[in-house]
Amino acid sequence: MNLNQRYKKYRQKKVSTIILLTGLIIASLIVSLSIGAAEISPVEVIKILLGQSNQYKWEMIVVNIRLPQAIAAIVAGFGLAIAGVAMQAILNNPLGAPFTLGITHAAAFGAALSVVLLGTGTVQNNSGEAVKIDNHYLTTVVAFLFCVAEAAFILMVAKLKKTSPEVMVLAGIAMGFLFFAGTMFLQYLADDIQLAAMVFWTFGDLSRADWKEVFIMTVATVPGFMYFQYNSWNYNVLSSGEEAAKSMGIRVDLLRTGGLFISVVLTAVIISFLGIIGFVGLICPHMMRRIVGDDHRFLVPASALCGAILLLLSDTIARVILLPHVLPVAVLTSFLGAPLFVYLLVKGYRR
Amino acid sequence: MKLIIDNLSFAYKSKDVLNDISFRVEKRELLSILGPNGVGKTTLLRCINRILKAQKGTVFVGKDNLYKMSTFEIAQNISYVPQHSRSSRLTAYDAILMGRRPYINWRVSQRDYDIVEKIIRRLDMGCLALRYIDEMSGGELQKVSIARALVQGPRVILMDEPTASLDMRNQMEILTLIREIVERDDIITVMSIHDINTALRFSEKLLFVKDGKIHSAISPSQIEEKIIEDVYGVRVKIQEINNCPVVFPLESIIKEKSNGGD
Repeated sequence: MNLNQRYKKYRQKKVSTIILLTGLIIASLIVSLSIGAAEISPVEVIKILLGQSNQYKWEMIVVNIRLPQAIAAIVAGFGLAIAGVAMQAILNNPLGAPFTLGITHAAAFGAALSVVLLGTGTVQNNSGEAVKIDNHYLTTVVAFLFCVAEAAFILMVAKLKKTSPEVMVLAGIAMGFLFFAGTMFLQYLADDIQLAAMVFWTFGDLSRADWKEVFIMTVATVPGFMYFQYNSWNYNVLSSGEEAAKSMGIRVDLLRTGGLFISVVLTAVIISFLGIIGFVGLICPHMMRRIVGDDHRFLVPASALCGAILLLLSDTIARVILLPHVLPVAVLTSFLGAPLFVYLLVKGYRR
Repeated sequence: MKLIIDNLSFAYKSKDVLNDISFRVEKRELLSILGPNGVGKTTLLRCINRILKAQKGTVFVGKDNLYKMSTFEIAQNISYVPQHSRSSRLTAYDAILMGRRPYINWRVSQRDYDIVEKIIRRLDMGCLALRYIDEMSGGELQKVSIARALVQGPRVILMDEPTASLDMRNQMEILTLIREIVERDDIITVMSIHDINTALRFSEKLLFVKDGKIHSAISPSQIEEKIIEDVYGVRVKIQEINNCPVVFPLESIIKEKSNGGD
C-alpha cells in the first residue's frame, strides 16, 4: 500500500469517530427525551418524533417541554465547545476558554447591572419553584453587550502589543477580576430580591430556553461553526508556531482577532440566554484531542459533537438526580468537569 | 535567478537593528549569515520573507519584488524553517501537508497529496510519515520542518539555525540534505548559523554581520583570522583539514573599554 493510501486510511478512522459521535448524539437525545418525571419508553419517543404516536399527553411532554430543552443543550454544547477549541488555538494556550478570558464574569456583571439599574430583578418565588427574572430579554441583552465590550477591550489592549496571545489571556484575566469585583459591589448594594435574581441568573440553566432562544442560538452557532471549520487548516498551521504560520502566508493577527471576536460573540449569545455554563468549552476539546489529535479539521467537529453530547447528558442527569427538584445544569457540568479535567491532566498532559 | 536584498533597514521601536543591508545570492548557492548573538541575524531572515516588514529597502527573487506581493504569493516563493517548531499531536504527513497552505483554500487536491508524497519519498521519510510529531526527536522534527518547506514549492528557503539543537550525526544529515536541496532542486538557501566551521564547510558564501551592518561578505577560502577577531572579539587560529579551513578559537580579546567588570 503506498503512502497516500495509508494516509487516507488513517484519516478515514477520524471520519469514523465523527460519524460515531453523531450517532451518539441521536442516541443521547432519545434517552434524554424519555427520562424525566414521567417515564416514557424510548420506542414511544421515537414514535412521537416520527409523528406516529397516539399518546397525546406524552407527545405534549416530549415535544413542548423536553424537546426544546434537549435541542438547546445540543446547540449550546456545540457552540460552547467550538468557541473553546477556537480560543485554545488562537491563544496557543490549553487554558483558553470563556472563563479564563473573563467573558463569563462580564456576562454576570452585565446581568447584575441590569437587575439593579434597569429593575429587571423582580423575582417571583412561588413555593420553592424556580426563581424567575422578570424581564428575561433585557437582562440577556445587557449581559451580551458586556461580553462584547469586554472582548473589544481585550482586542484593543492586544493590538497595542502586536496581538500577542499572552497579552490577550492576561488582559482577559484582569478584566475578569474587575467584573467580578463589580458584581460583588452590586451584590452588596442590592436588596434580597435583587441579590437572589443576580445569583440565580449565574446558574446556567437550560430550561430557560424555548424555541425562540434555540433559534437565536442556532443562528449564532451555525455560521460560527462554518467559520472555525473553514479556518481549521489555519489553526493547524498556527499550532506549529507563529513565525512558521506567517511564513506560510497566514495573516496571524487577522486570524487571532477574527477568531477571538467570533468565539466571544458565540459564547456571549449562549451564556446570555442560559446563564453561565462552565467547563464545556474547556474540557471537550481536551477530551477530543486524546481521540482525534490536534488536527483542527477533525478536532473542531469532534469537540462540537462532544460538547453537545456532554451538555445533553448532563442536563438529563440534572433533571432527574434530585427529583422532584431540578438542578441547573451548570452545577453538574462543573461538578463533573473539574475532576474529569484533573484526570485528563494527570493521565497524560503532553509538552 | 537571484535573490537580491536591496538596502534593507529595520528598527524595533527606536532601536536600529539592521542598517542598509544589501547582498545577493546566486542560483545554486548556500549563504550563511554569521555574527554574534543579538546582532540581528534572525531579524534579517524575517525581513527577507516579510514576517517582519523592513522600514526601508526591498527584496527581489529574480525579477519579482517580494515587497509588492500578497502574503500567499510570498509564501509560494520563499519558505522558512524556524529554529524551533512547536509540536502538537499531528502526524508528520499532516504537518508536511501544511506547507501546501499557500495553494489551498478549502479542499486539498490530489496534486497536493502527490507533491507531499513525492517529497516524503525524496527525503526517505516514509516510515516517519504517519507518526505523531510530538513523539519525535529533534532531528526528525527538523526533517519534517524542512520537508514542509520544500512542499511549499519555493525558489528560496530561509533557515534559522537549522542545526542548533542537533547532535553531530543529525547535523551532518541535515546539512547534507540542505546541500542536496541547493544543488539538485536549484533552491537558493540562506541560513543563519553560529558554527563557523560548519558554515565554512557547507556554504558558498559567508556573510558576517556586526552592529546591524555587513562586516564582510566572502567565500570560505577568503576567511581570515582578522575578520573573526573583528566580528566576534575572539583571537583564533585557522588551519586546513581536508582542504577545508577550520577555525580554532584561542581566547577572547579583552577590550580597553569593557562594559562593567565582574
